[in-house]
Amino acid sequence: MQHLKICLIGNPNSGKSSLFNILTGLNQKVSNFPGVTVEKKTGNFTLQSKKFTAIDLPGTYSLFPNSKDEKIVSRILTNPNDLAYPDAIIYICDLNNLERHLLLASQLIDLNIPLVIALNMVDIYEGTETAEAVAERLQSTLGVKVIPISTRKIDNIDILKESLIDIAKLLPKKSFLKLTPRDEGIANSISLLTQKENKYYNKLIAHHHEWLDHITRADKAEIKEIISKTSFVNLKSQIEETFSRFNIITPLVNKKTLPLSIKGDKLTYKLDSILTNKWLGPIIFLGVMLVMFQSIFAWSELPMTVIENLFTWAGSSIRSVMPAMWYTDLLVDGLLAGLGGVLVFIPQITILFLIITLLEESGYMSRAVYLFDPLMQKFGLNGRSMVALISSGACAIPAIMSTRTISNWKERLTTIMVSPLISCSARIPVYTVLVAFVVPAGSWGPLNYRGLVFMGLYLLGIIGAMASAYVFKVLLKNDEPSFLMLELPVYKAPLWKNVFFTVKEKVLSFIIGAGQVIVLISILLWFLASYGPSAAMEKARLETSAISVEQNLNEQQTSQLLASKKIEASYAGHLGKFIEPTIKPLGFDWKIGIALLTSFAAREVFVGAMATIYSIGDESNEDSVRSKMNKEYRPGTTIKVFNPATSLSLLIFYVFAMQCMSTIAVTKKETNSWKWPAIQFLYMGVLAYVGSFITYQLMSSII
Amino acid sequence: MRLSEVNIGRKVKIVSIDENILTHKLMTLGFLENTTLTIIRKSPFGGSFYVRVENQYVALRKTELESIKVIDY
Repeated sequence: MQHLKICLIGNPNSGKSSLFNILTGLNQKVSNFPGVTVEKKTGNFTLQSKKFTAIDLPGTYSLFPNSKDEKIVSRILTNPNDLAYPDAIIYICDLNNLERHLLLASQLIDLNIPLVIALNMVDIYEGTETAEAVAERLQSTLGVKVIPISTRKIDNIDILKESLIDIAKLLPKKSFLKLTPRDEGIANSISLLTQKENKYYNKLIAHHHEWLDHITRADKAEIKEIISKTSFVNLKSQIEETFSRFNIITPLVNKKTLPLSIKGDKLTYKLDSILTNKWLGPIIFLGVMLVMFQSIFAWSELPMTVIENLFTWAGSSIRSVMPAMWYTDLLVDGLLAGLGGVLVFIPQITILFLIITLLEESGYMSRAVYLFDPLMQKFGLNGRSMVALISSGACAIPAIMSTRTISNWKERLTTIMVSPLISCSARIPVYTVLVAFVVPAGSWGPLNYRGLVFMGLYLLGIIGAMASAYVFKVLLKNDEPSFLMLELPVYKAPLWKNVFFTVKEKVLSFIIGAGQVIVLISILLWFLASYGPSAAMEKARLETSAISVEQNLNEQQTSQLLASKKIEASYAGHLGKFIEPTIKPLGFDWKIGIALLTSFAAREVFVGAMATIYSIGDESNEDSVRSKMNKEYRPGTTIKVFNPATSLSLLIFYVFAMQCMSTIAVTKKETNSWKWPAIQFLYMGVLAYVGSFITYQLMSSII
Repeated sequence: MRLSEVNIGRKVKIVSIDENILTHKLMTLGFLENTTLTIIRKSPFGGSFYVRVENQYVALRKTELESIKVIDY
């Protein structure tokens, strides 16, 4: 039997995602709505042998959406052919904000789709009437089933589920739509096109046809024609409708239902007098960020070492068991080296996502938006850009996706363009390896030298992002309205279930997404570095034996010489040599060139690439990448390849350069054109090249 | 008077909201006729405001305050 599709719809902060997690448990998966990168969470559950698919839709205040995120709900509900079109809707409504939350409920009722209202947060409700009494009254006045629940205490969820057994019973019995004669006429004319009787459905088509993809161009033209003959003004009609709806809703929510007090309200008031204080607010925010990045390093060191050792051990075990053949090399030098390179980040990424999720779930993130909105505006951004910029510290991909809450296109575009300049977690391993070559270990008082350079690199990324945003502000004309209008929910202790699911999902998608790229690139790189044009490879062999005889080298020295000659003669060597002239002014040789080229797939490949390049031919596999790199000298000199000047220049390159295929793909998807990812790639590339050039030239002239 | 002219801490009641692009969104956030509100504080870099409407908190910009007409409660 087919699964019945149940859409979860509600205002932001109504507890929608909590309910979704309770209903579906571990049976959930995340995909994208077709054509947009808005996440679509679906999950299955069974009830009395009936199968259901729950679909978690983005939070929205009404069917008159402002942002891309909110438009999803209207898109689905106006298209019965949509894969997510519901057989029934669960509308989650916060009992403590009843008046506002009933607006969307009344719109959904008018669409005449089977609907049950879950009256949430009864556990924190303190009114003169009981929650049950409110539910009963609403049920009779609204003509739909209303069930008081608590997603926090997991109360009455069974009753809510049971109501879904017979969805025919959930069909709304009333309607709240009062159409003006003009709008009635429009709805009737449009119904001839849509073949749909429901008046409100047709009215929504009249409002939204321009951005609804499932409406054909011919139909759009016809709808435009119908409307143009009347005095219909889209915005005005939306306001009129909302007014008439509140005229009905407000009396329903009489003084009796208004909560006397809301749990957490006093605490929120007190906390915010400090956290959003004019002076203390920004200082505390900086402190929070500092603690966040400190904990990434403090807590991840041990698990990272464990993972690293595990891979070294696995590598040498495989070598001891398997024959010394090409496939063993491929497995150890290619696959395992690459895989280890990704998995070692898991602790850092988990901690980062965990903290960001906690900030969002607790309600602090919206305070940051409020605090910095005026400052952000000066740089052509929106307060909401803060969410993206903070998330970029973990990964630019979810950051870019989070910009869908910004309704102003230029502000959103600018946020997308500059987010990848904030140092993400993929840069951490590159920084870690290279910083060691720039400054010695040690500290000045409590300040660790290497920690300071690290902070400097992050700061550079932030400055780069803000400066670029300013340039975009000057270059791009912004004539759309921009607004803040942000709900500041009361502070709540995060629900661990929600936090767990969010972090798990984000970490998994990172591992799978980045993992595929890295493994693929590692294997490719291993092949390119191990094989080459046969003439060149033969020449390398002949030269090696000649030198070996001439200088009387022992077996080990000979094999090392052969390895380095072979990598030079390999395809990768040719590639590296080809670009060497361009990167020489930055202080990079062809081997770094190879790592740079492969890093354009994903930055974190750098360490893996270095490992692969320096592992090939080195049978011992005992040295860490860092000590292998430290032993490299420029041919014929005593200058280390990774001298401070080169290393710093390379660091600067990684701060600015757009080296992430996945980010480019997301930018393309979110901006709907190749133009913006191309511009992003180019401007960041120019920043990286110029920055590295200046750094290297300055540094090498000083030293 | 306009909400943008109201001092911090003064309790006022909404009379009407100008009809413009912001109206609908303001209404969905609880800015309805006859509801009471207070501006609680101003943001660090000026320009945005921390407002209490009925029993909830909302952040608004100065331009957004301007479209709301209020009287003393």
